[in-house]
Amino acid sequence: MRIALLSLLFFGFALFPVSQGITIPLRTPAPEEVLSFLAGMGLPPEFKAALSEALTLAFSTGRATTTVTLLLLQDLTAIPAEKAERGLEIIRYAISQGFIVDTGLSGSSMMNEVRKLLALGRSWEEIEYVLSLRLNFLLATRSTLARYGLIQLGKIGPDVPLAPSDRFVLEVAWAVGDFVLWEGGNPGDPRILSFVRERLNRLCGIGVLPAEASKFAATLTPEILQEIVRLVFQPERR
Amino acid sequence: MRWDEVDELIRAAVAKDVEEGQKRLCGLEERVIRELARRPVRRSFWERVREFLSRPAPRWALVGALAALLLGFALGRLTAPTPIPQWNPNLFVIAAPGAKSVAIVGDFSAWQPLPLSDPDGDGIWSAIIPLPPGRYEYAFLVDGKWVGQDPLAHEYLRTFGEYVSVRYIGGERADRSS
Repeated sequence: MRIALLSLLFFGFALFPVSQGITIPLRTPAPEEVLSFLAGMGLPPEFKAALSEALTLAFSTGRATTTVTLLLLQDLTAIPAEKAERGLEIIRYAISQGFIVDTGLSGSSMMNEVRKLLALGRSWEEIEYVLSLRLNFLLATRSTLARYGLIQLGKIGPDVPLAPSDRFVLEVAWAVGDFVLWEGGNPGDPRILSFVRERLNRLCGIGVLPAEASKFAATLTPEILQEIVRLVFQPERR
Repeated sequence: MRWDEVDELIRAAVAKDVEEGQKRLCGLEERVIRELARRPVRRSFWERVREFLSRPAPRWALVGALAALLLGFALGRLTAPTPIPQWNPNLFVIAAPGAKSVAIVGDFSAWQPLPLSDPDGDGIWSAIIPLPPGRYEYAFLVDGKWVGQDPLAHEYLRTFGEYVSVRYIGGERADRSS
């Protein structure tokens, strides 16, 4: 009987983790925990207050997740405060413009991109440059798609509930950004259209984007995408 | 032969059989009891379960076993990392013979290393990671060195000169031919 009891104890203990396969050792902190960590960082108080307000709205509307945000803030304690503030200001501004800055543990996001570049051992100056370009891609994509009538711009802000077009803007901006930043493409490169369409179609295929986005992708033209790239590097034209 | 003579012969034969049968029947009851005692009584599974449960001591043992099972499950749940919801398992595998440690970093771990294992020591390191639908960028770290081109990836990106693998998980179109 003793053996049976021990066997059952072991079996029960082992049952849960084994049935899960390998689990991601990340937890989901409460928003208060993230904000408390931010409050303890060596950043100017007025900036912390502004970022705290933006993050609170981002958590509640789905524009950021507490998991990745806390990890990012923890990363930034290792760099000088003024550099961390510059990077975080880009993210805060993106939130204030109503953009999604963190999709959690999948897909395109400014926060996870910073974590990736840190894992690659890139300097903070490089990371900050990429962040500012990503913000420009988001702004340029939204204004261009609206100008061509592909999305309708309503009220913009961090407290506005997310619409399907918000994710679409993010994915178009990310695909164009990947093409220019990492594929070495330029605005005149004819491959940009197939690159972006393939990305969007694949995201439709796995359910990240709604099925309508596939039809939407078909309406994209090289001119629209080239206009986005031009606006990124000539923001005064936005 | 007359009928009364036949009748006599039959009676004599029957009397003889009865006499011999009586010899065989002598002690039959004791023999049957001994035989029954020697053979185990065959009972059905449920009869045995009912009998087991009807005893006071085993009943407490069963309660204890169930309590142990629940305690074990609770401990397992408490000590396991926060699980993501049940999704399809995804195999990540890399050949790294002679490597001392292999890990994977990616969007799914917020770029924190997750260790791969090589239990049989054949140099094939692997991990099964359940993931929700999404587009995931990732790379392997072989003894700390970045290895960004996974043959099982759907596509690659080059970030600051380093390759990053990409998998689309969750849909029928997320295969290499798409």
